[in-house]
Amino acid sequence: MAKRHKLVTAFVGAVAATSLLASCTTTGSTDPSANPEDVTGEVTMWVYPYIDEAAWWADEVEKFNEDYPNIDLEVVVQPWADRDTQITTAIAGGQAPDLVYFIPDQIGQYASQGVLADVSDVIPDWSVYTEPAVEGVSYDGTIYALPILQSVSSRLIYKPAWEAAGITEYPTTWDEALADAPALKDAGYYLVDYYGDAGPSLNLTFYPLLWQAGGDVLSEDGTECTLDSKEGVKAIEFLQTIFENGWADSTYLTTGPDQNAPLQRGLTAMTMSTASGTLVQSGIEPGDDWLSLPPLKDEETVTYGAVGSLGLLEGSPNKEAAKVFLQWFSQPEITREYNLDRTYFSPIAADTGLYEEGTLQAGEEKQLDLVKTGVSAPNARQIMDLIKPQVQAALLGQLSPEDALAKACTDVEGILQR
Amino acid sequence: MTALIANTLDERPARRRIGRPSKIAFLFIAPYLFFFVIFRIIPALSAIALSFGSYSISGKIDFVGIENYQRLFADPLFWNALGVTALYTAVAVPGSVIFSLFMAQLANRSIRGMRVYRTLFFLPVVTSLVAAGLVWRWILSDNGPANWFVGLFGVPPIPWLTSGDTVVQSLAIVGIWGGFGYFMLIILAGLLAIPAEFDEAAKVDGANAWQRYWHVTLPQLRPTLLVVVILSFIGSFQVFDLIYVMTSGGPVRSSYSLVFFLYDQGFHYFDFGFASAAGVILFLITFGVSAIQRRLFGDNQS
Repeated sequence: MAKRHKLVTAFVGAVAATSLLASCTTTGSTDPSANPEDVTGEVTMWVYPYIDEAAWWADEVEKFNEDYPNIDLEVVVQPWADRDTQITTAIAGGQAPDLVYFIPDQIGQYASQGVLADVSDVIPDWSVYTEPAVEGVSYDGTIYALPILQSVSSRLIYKPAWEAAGITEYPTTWDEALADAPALKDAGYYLVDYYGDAGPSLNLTFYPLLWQAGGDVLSEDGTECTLDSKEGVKAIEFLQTIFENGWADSTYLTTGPDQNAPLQRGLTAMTMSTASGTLVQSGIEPGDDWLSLPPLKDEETVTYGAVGSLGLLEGSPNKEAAKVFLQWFSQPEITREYNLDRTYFSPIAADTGLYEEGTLQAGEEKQLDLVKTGVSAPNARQIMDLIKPQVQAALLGQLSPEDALAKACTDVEGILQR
Repeated sequence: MTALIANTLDERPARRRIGRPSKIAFLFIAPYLFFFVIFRIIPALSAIALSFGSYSISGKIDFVGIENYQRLFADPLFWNALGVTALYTAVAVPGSVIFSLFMAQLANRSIRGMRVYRTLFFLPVVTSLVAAGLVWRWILSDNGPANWFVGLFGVPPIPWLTSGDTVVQSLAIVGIWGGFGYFMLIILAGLLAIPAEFDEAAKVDGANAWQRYWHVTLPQLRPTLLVVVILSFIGSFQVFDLIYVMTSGGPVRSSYSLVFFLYDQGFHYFDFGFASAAGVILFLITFGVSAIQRRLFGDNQS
């Protein structure tokens, strides 16, 4: 009898929640006829620290519970390090949360394993989101997460370096940048920062250059490696020119970014692709010395941009309540507040002008339509790990650019054919 | 009837009966045994089973036979990782044994403050290898203290961690530093267990210090040294955290170890069956060497 009662309650709750979701007309709006008190459930969400997340989320949970008093939302702040290990072991051990913060590289990987639930029905009209945001949360035509954050890995200019070199006009192309490099070197500055170590993601190092040269890692249908192209060779040769002339610190071809890096010591004239938020997190206070400009152009003006999202796990026993939370969180004012507090950008296309003109963030925001969200493939990370050592070998002079890219493509093809 | 059964049981001379002391001993080891089975044996058996399957983190398992092993043996990355691990082991094991033996000899003296020295020597063992790895990364960086030091002798900067020719050896040095305190204690215990009479008898026979050490002390330490060798071997073959922190497997995969390979395949690429196959190979290698050690140890006992 008790079991039947529970089933009836669950059914009523599910119907109520479904009705509530189905009745939404825009992001963040709910049908006034639906009673939020009827929606029940326990939702656990894993997030990762940008700021003091525990304090921030405590306020949000309170606000959410004012609207939905019978959904018990628990937010757990996990460390960034080894987050996939945490998620996979939690799923395998039956201790997984309902919602998890994901970035685009993870969406395809987890979706292809069948552990992400389709959340297309959370938002009635996905065109309210920017194109990269929807692309970043989709895999194989299905939407698996709610975009809540967008970032731009912008070109950040360190103005004092250019002033010291007597350069008044900032470069906009690869050739212009290379032409300015000797004067910067004479003034005691490196042209750019670049990390060739196995640690940093290629999304922040080599891929933007490859895209700027007009190339890509995979063919459009994702079945072929297109890295070993003249564009790929050009991207490596561009870097080789920089390192051979001492226009970037070659120490960081074999080690990851650290506190001794020229960027940290104010010895780099510009970053190749860095979000201002990352700059702040690495301990640099941007102030008036920094300026955000669109990425350098060779054939195209493009850079990497991450999309932060909340994905719903397929095994969640609280899908409806979790979707209600996602729908609640999609309200433009909440998404805006979330991003303002973290100095990132709202993925809702109409929600622009978050930052005061003249700030770094205002400059970055204008570049939101210049971003790519990485390689869209279920094994994007494995592909990246196969490419990294070959690019590094070319930059260290152990392989020619052609041989390095051909070797990388042979390895990548092996993965694609599996 | 009960009496009959009792008599029958009493008349079984061939079967050993567990006496009270044995039962108590079993009681003491039972908790360990319980957790050993739960956390070691069952996962190990599961990993062996998983190595013949394709496992999705959604919980789906498909039997694939020996496909994972075929892929593994055809994967150049696996052979590269095995080669790196073997090189690391070839440097770290003799280095650990020799350095620990040397330090144990130093620590086996009755001088003032020896307890403090022993504690200091043991300190790296209780230091987080991740934290130590970060410090060592700085020490061995191109402009770090290590190159400053060798520069004092006119030696040009050594690319400790930035060249494929030196990175594994440099990591092995850090590994030796991290583990020598533990092995030193084992050897020290072995040294203290050698009866002083042996040394005195050799002295009476006219043996000098080196002869006494070579012909008396070292042979007595043989079982202890074998334990140290095997522990060091297992530790070296499982090296991961140090490499993860210090080089991320680079440059150009020249420090990409077998456990790093296993970790990537499992937790980065979610290819758990394939990772398990690599784990089984790792287990077979360490088990094989342990078996050889056991045999050597047995011979010594007989």
